[in-house]
Amino acid sequence: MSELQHDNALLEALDWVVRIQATEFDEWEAHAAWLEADPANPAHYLRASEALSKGLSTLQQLDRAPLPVAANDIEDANDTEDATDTYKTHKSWWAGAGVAVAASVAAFFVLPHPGPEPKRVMQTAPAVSRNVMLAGGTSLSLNGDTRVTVIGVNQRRIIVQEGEVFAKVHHDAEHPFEIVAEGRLFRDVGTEINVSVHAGTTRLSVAEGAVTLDPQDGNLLIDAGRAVVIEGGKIRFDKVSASNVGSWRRGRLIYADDDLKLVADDLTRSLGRPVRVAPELARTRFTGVLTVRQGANETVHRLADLLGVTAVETRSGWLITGKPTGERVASP
Amino acid sequence: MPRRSATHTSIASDGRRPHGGRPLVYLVRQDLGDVTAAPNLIHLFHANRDMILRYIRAHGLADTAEDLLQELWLKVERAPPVVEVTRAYLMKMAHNLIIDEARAAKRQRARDHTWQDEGAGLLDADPAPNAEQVVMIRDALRRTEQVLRQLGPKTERILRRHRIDGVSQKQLAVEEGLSLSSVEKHLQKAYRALASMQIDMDSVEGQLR
Repeated sequence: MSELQHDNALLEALDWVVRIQATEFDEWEAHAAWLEADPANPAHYLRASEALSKGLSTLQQLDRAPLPVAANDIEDANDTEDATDTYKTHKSWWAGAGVAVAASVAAFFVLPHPGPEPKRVMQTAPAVSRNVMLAGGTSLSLNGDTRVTVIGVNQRRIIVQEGEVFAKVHHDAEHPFEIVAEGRLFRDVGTEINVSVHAGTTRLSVAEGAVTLDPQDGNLLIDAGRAVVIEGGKIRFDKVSASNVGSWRRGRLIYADDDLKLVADDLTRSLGRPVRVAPELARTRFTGVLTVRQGANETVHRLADLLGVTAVETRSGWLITGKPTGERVASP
Repeated sequence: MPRRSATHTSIASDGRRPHGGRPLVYLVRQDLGDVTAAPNLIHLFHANRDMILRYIRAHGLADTAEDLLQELWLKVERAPPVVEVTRAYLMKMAHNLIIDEARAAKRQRARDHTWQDEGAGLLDADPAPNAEQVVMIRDALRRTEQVLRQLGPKTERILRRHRIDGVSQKQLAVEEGLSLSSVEKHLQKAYRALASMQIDMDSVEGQLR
C-alpha cells in the first residue's frame, strides 16, 4: 500500500518540491512558514527532494541502457594479444551517479554471448571513486584516477592499468578471479584485496583469504594481513592490518611506517590535485591516519603538521617541504 | 568614517560571529549599498539576508545557519554576471545549497549510525550493489518506464527532451507549440510522478529490511 496516500505531510512536501522546480517560483515566505509549521516538515521535504533526484537519475540511466534490450551495453573491443594496449574509453558508462553504474551492471546479466573476449574499460576521474558489481558477484571499488579493464563475458579477470582498486571477490574454484598489474598475475583464493598501481610500483594487500602471485612460475602465496610490493624485478613483502586494507573507501588513509611518496600518491588520487614531496623529504616515512573527507587543504596540512614540515600550495596542487621537526630540534 | 575597501576580512559590525569566530567577511560589502546600480546578486544578498537566514533555519539547520550564509555569500561573490537576477534566483541558490547541506548531514548521520552498529567495519562500508540491490535497480528502471508510459507521449517527450537532451523550456515551448507555462506544467506532472514512484519504492525497501 502506498505510504504517500496515508501521509499528508509527505504529500505536501512533494507538492513543494515540485512547485519549487518552476523557474518563476517566488513564494519563499510561504515555504518557510510551511517548514516552520511542524518540526517534522524539513525531514519530509528533504525526503521528497531526494526522491525526485533519485527518480531523475534513474530516468537518465534509462536513456543510456534502454530496457529490455541491453545487449549493446557491452561492446566488442578489437581484442588484441596485448591486453594493456590502447583501450576505448566508455565515458558515458561512468557518467551517471551510483545508481547509473549499478544499472549498467544490471545489464550484464542479460547479455547474449557477444563473441570473443569482450573487454570494458572503467575509468574514474581524480577524486571520484566508484563501486561496480561484476558478473558472478565480485564487487570492485575504484579509487579516483583509476583505470581498470574487465576481460571476458564472465568477468573473472581485470587488468589494473593505473590507480587503486579494492576487490571483494566472490570465490569460484572453477573460475578463479585474476588481477593483472604491470604484467604480473594475481589469482584469488577467496578474497578481499586492494591493488594499487602507480609509477611502476604495484602494491597488493590482502584483507581476507589469500592470493597467489604468478601461479604459473613463482606461485608465491600472499595471505590475509600481508602485502606485496613489486617494483620492477624486486619483490618485497610487508605486513598490513587486515582491517585497514581498502580503508580509502571510507575516506581514511592509514599508514604504518610508509614512504611519504606513497602517501603523496594516495593523496593525489583521492584529492584530485597533485601532492608532491620535496627531495629533502624523499626518505621520510609516515605513520598516522588521514581523513580525506575533511577537505583537500586540511588533509594536506594535517599530514604536514603530523610530520612537522610545511605544505605549500602551488598552482596545481601542494608541495610538502622542509626538514622534519625532529632534525630541527637536534640542531643547535 | 565608513570603510570603502571591499578587501578587509575582519569586520563583525553586528557583533555576531559564526562558530569558531570566523569573521563575517560579507559585511564589508554593506558599504557598497549606496552605489546606485541595477540590483545585482550582491545587493539582493544584503537586502534579503534576514530572509535567507530564516529560510536556512526553517530547514532545521539553525546550527550551521551562519556558515551556510557565508558559503552562499562566496557563491554570490563568484557568480558570473547574469543579466536578469531576481530574488527568486538568489533564493533558489540558497535552496540548493541548503538541500546539499541537509543531504550531506543526513548521510553523515547514517554513516555514524552504521559505524556504531558494525564497529570498525571498514570493509563492509559503502559496498558495491549486491545481487538484491541490482534486482531493485532493474525494478526501478522498469517502473520508471511504466511511469513514463502512464504520463502520456507528450509529457514523456517534454521530460526526456528537457532532462536528458538538456533542451531549454523556452526551446521546448517553440518545438511543441505550447506556452512556457504549459511546458512547465507537463514537467511538474512528470516530476511528481517520478518522485512518488521513488517514495513508494523506498518505503517498500524500508519494510523489507
